Amino acid sequence: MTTQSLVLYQKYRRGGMDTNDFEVFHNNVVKVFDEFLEMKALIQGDISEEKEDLISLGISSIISFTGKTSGRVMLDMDPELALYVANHLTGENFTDLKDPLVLASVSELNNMVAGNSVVDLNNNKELDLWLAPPIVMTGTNMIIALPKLKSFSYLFDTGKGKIRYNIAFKGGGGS
Amino acid sequence: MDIKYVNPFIQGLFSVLGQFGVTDVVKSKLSKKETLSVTHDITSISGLTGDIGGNIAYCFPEETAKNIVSKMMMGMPVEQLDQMGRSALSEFCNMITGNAIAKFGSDNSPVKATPPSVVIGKDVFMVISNVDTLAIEFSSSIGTIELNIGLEN
Repeated sequence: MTTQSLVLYQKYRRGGMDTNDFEVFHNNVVKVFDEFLEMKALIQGDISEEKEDLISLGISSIISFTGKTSGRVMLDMDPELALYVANHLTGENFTDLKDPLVLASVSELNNMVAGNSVVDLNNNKELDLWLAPPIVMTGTNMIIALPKLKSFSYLFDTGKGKIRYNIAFKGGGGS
Repeated sequence: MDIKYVNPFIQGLFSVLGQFGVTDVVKSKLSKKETLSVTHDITSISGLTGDIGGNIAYCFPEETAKNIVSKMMMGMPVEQLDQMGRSALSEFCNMITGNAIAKFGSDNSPVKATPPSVVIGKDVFMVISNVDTLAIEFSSSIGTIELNIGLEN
C-alpha cells in the first residue's frame, strides 16, 4: 500500500468500507479487461479522492449498491475505447456511441467488475452488499454529481483509451 | 409491474412537492417504454435493491430543476444549478423515494434505496434498465417532471 492509499485508508476505515477494500475493484477491472478483451489495463498513478462532481470521459456505467454501506461504482471510459470494446465483444463495426449494443457492452463490463467485486467483499468482509441494475449513459460534457458520498477514482490506460473506475460510498468516519 | 409499487411514488411526489408549497400538480401524460431511457437535461436516479430490484429516474428540464431548488430554499432565486443546487435536487428525489418505500406495506420493508446520482448535460442519452418502464409526466406551475419507474419484479 502506498503512503497516499494508507492515509486514505486510515481516514475512511470507519465507514463500513475502506480504501483497502477498493483494491478488489482495481483487481477486477484488470482481470475483466484481460479475460474478455485481451487488453492490459495499466493503472496510472494512485487512487485519488474526488472532491468535485465528475465530468464523464464520454460513456459511463453506474451500478449502485446497498448493504452495511451504500453507494455506487462507475466505469467511465473514452468514446473510442467504448467502440473498441463493443466491436471486440460483438464482432460488429459500431461507430455510434448511442447504439444500444455499445451501451450494453459497457454496461455488461461494469456488471462483471461490480458483480465479482461485491461477491469478494461479501465473502471476505461480510458487507452484505446488494446491487441495483446497471445504468449506462453517454453525452457531451456530462456532469455526474454524487452529493454526500465519498468518492475515489482509479485511472487506467489501455492503449485504446482511458478508463476511470470510481467508487463512492456513504460514511467514512474521518470527515 | 405491480401497481402497488407505482402508486407510492406518485403519492410521494405529490406529498413532497406539497411540503414545498407546490399544490397545483397534475398528471399530464402516461406512457410505457420498453427500456428505461431518458434524454432530459437533468436526471436523478436511485436504485432499488431487496425484494424489488430496479431503478427510479426523476427527469427535469433545467428550469424545473432550478424552480424546485428555489422552492426548497424558501423562494431564493436560483440562477445556476451549482453543487449545492445539485445536492438539494438529489435530496428532493431522495425524499420522494424514501416516502414511497415507506408506503410499500411491511413494517420492516425489505426494499432499500441507493443514494441518488444526479446526471446533468445537454444531449445526454441514458439507458437505465432493460425492463418495461412506466413514465409518468407531471405538470405544475414550476414546470414538468417525468417520473420513470423501471422495476424488475
